[in-house]
Amino acid sequence: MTIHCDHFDDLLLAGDSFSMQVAAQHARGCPACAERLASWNEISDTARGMHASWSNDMLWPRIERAIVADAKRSRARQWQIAAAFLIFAALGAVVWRANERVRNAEFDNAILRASAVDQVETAERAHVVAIDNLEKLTKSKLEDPSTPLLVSYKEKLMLLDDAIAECQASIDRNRQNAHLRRQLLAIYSEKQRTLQEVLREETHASNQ
Amino acid sequence: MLRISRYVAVAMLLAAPAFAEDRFEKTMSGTVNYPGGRVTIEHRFGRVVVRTDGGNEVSARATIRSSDTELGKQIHFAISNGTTGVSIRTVFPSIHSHDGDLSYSADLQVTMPERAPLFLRSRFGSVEVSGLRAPVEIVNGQGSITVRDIHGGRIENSFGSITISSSGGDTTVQNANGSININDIEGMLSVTNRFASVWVRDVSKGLSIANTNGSVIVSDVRGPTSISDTFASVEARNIGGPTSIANQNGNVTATDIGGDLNVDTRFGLVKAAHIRGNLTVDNANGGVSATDINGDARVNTSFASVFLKDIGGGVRVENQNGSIAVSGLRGGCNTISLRTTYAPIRIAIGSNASYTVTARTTYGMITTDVPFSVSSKSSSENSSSLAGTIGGGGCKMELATSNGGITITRE
Repeated sequence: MTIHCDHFDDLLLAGDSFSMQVAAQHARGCPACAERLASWNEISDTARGMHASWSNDMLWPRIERAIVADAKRSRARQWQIAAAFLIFAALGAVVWRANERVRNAEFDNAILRASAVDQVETAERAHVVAIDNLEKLTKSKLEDPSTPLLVSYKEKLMLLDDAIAECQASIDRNRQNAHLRRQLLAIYSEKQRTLQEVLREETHASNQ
Repeated sequence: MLRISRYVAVAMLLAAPAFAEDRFEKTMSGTVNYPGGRVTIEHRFGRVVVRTDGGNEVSARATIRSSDTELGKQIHFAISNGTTGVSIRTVFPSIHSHDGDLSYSADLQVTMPERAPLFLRSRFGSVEVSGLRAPVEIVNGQGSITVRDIHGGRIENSFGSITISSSGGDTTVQNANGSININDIEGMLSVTNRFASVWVRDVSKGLSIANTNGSVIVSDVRGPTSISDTFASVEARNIGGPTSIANQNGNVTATDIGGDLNVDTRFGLVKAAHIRGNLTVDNANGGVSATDINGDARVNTSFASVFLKDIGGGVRVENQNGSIAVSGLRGGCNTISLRTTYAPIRIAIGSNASYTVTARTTYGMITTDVPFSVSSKSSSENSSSLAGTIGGGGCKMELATSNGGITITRE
């Protein structure tokens, strides 16, 4: 079999007996390749003389421990991932719950629940009773106001009554609307306060 | 009106029943191009929030809540544009049920170009507007108005408060039964209110306030100021121009006034201090106390005392049934005229003051610890009069009372 010098290294790298026989045959007629073959054989002999194994008894236990530790780390990592997922899920649930609560609160702030409406109507009835009592006490002065201030109070009370009527008409068709309820309560409070001022004015005038 | 987009632009992003059957909530939004003209918003039964940006679109987003799903689904808003501008309107269905079990509300949030004029009409809900560079007109009722960083305009409300901070143009504000709180106006400010307080601070030009039955507090105005009120107190501080205050049945306090101060009131105490111009007070049944007046002080009142101190100009007081006390006359020659009845007069003058004095009283005495050159003197059983000079004479001093004494002292 005839080979070219360019393929000589391929034969050496192949390393099987047939390739080495062909390489030796070629080297016999080629000094350059003979020198390369000699170097190769020298390296091979040196490599064969080196340690192929270690006789240290501690090596394998160390490797085994490392493998076990690595397995444990792997399980810990799995647990960490699971824990992170759980925490993420829990946080998500908390955020979702908080968001729901905010939405519920916003809704309650716009449309009152039935129980809240009952409470509001109780407060309104209390205002109405107080206002009725105050109106009885101030009736005579307001029917025939004797001072410019009383005239002014009378005018204010008429405006408040108009606003109450307007608010009440809207509430009749929108009973749980929170803004309407708050507004009506505010106007009732203002009317009560104004009647109390009229009463004080009466007292003040009568003391003079 | 040319409708480029009529209701079509309204896109329902989410229309899912949010809660149970009796707690329906949905969100709607829509956007149209801004073709110029005015942005008009008409809304009821909920909050309106208007914001601006530098874009060329008007977008609206509504959150509709109802106690009834069918009713909630029928509530919507319409947004359209045309040659006159953009219109946004909340539409509520006719409700024929009278049992009151159907309830609803709609909150509206609008984003519009900052250069677009705005007309907003609302009722039964609060209004918030900010960031406009064009005039606004806002009319609300039974809900508060909060406006920030606008360019002037007109704001009207009833049974709800008005709060304005930073307006870059002339601004008119009208309210009834709701407080007004205004800060930082670059322009003229006109305020009308009834039955509630008015608080104004930092106005660059003139200010006019007409209130009834509500207190007024004003400070830091760099222009002429006019305030009228009844049955409540008025307080004005640090006013750069002439100031006029008319009140009835309420106290008036004015300090650090850069021009003349005119106060017309009844049944209230007037306190004035640090007035750079003249002071004129027309009061009845109310005391007057004034300190540090650069110009003349002219006071009319009755049934109450008048105290004047540190006056740079002439002093003229007409009182009835009330005492008069004057001191700290700063000018070289202050013409003095003090008249009252049934009360004493007391005046303190500087050590080098020169006056030509005429003093007269009935049922009282004239006393002085100042060197006095008497030119004429008369005294009977129930009246006495004195004429003469203090120092070299010259400046005119007339003092007259009845049933009270007259005292002239050194400072």
